[in-house]
Amino acid sequence: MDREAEFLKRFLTCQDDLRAVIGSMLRDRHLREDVFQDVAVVLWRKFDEYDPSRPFGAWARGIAVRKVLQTYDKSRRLPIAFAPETIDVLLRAFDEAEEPDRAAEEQALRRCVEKLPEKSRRLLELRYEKALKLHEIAERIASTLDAVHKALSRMREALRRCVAREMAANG
Amino acid sequence: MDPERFQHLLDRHFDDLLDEAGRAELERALAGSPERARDFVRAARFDGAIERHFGRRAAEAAAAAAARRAMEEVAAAPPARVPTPRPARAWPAFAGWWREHGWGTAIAVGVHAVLIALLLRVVVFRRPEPPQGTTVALAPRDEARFDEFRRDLPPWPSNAKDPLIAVPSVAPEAALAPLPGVTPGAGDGVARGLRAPPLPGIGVPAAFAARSAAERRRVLDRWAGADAPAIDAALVRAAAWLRLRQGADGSWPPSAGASDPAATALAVLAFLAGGDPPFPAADRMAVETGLAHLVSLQGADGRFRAGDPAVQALGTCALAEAYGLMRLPHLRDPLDRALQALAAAQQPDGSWTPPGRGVEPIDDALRTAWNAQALRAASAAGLAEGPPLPLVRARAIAHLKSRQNPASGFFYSRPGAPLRESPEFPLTAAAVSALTALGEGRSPEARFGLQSLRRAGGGAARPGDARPGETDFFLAQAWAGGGEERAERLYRGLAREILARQASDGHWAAGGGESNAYGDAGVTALRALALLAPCRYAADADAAAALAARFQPLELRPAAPGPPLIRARGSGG
Repeated sequence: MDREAEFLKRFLTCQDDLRAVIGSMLRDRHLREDVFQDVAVVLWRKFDEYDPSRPFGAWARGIAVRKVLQTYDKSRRLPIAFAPETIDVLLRAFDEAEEPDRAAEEQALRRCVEKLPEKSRRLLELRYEKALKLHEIAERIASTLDAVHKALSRMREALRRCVAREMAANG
Repeated sequence: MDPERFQHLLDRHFDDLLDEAGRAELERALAGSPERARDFVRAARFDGAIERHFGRRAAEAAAAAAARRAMEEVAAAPPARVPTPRPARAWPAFAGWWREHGWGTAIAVGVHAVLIALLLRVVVFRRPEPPQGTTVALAPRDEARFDEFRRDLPPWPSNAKDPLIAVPSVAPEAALAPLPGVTPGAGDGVARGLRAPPLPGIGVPAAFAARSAAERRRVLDRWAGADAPAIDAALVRAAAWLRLRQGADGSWPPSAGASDPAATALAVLAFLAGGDPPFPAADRMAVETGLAHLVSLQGADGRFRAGDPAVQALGTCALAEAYGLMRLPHLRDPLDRALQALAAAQQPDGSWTPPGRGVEPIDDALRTAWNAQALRAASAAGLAEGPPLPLVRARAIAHLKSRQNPASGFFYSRPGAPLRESPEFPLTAAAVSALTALGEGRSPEARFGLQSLRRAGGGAARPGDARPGETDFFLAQAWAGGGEERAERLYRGLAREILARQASDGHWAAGGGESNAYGDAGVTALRALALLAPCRYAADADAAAALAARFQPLELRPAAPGPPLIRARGSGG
């Protein structure tokens, strides 16, 4: 297998996790996408320095976190990042926490979202598909910021339980 | 932390609603428990999964819609026709060329014609002669307020055309001599002629480069951004309020009937920070009469009054800044004596708090911080290079560093106190500002202290702070001088809070313990100084060089009669 194919195989395996790492520290979707693109480029450029005896995901997450911190340095308007020691703790947790079966999780999530009432699904679409901020959602559906936040929190919790139930039922 | 609270913080984090306090609480929870960190990771991955799911749904829906539209277009399209070739004709060919290329040519010709017409207009045009006999009327200056002070001024040399700006052509030594019939001594500051003209041919030290109006404009615009106009307006209102509150003896009494050198020194410092050297007449008069009052309170041993070391430091600071910025030669002797008193009052451990007394940590922190400000002002004025001031500085630095809690970064906190303990906030602000003033702003201790201040909320409300005015001042000084990476944003937040508390007539009201110490005048001056913190001392060499070019080279006079304890920088030993 040539280097490019090997890189792609490893990168595609962990790209969802990289998005999760970046997304947990940067909430702006466009900025996240920019950072993710930058991380992919850096990973490919530095792939020669990668030690195959170590997990590729941990190496890539470390680079992603450094890119996030550089983004904070460039844009001072962003909310404050986590402290370096907290980021170390989170990186260790990403290494230790077991990764879910993505395909099974996606199937379960699809079934669970179908079960949601139309109104709830519409709210999730505004948040996750249209990437609207909470105050924009509140304006659009003529509600309050707090009510939108509570509704989203409840729906996330309901989805989390439903997905866990579905995955357990389907092995 | 209970799971419900943690889940609540997680939800707010992923909805981008978490404020600074919540973020700090979340960080504490994550740092304190690996299980919480794993919960965070699971939530982040699940949030990503939801986003991915809806992204795929949207992509699938868009693809289906595009396919449906394509099918509808194919179904609705008329049968294709094969165009019949026609013989070429000259006119339609030219019309086609004109449609495609002629517009550009026509527009270019039109633009050139307009430009040529404008050029001819400029060449041919002659400026009309202004009408003859125009007169300019100047309104008389309203200086009634200063007349009562001018009566006491010594007579000006006969060759002076304008007493406000002309410099007498006397030798520096002659200008330094006491006025005829005046005997130097304690409590005679006014009689010694503090309002005499400045030395000829002298300049402003480079450390005060940011005090000019132009440089202050540049620095404030950079630090305050869009808030700069509001800060300007607040400072103008505060200066007007302070001018009206100055007493006939030059003091700013902290309360009715009382007289305290601290409030007067603070007001003088505020005018020196907000003026434009050489200062306009109104500011100069206010400062000089304030200084005269301060010196009249000074004893032969250099102490302003049997009071707190912080008051002594404030008076010394005002004298040093005034000497550095206004170059009044008569301030040199009171300043030397004030610095000697400051050095003599320092304890062997580097503090200004005598051992064996029940003193609160806040008092020790404020005394050290104000003395550090005085040492910095003396250094900026070129007076702090001779012994024993380097030793005083070194002791103060060692004392401050010994007060830091190595675990939390806060100063004066109990050993083992929890992280982000807020009661030490004012003390830490004072200590970090003092380290900055003593040249230790980039030391690990100062940077750790700044980091702790930032994590504790920066300029946020500080419940239980008995001296908020001084905390605001020292905090602004710390942000302005410490090199904290988000210093400008933190200064801006603090400035907004200060602006929000200003009364409509321009003053800031004292409250709690402050009222006993400085009164409204002192607190107003403190808040003005806090707003001006980025401009008080030059931050970079370019700014210093820019202002130095406006003035003559600095030449300090020889030391006062007798062996001086404090020597001027570059005075030859």
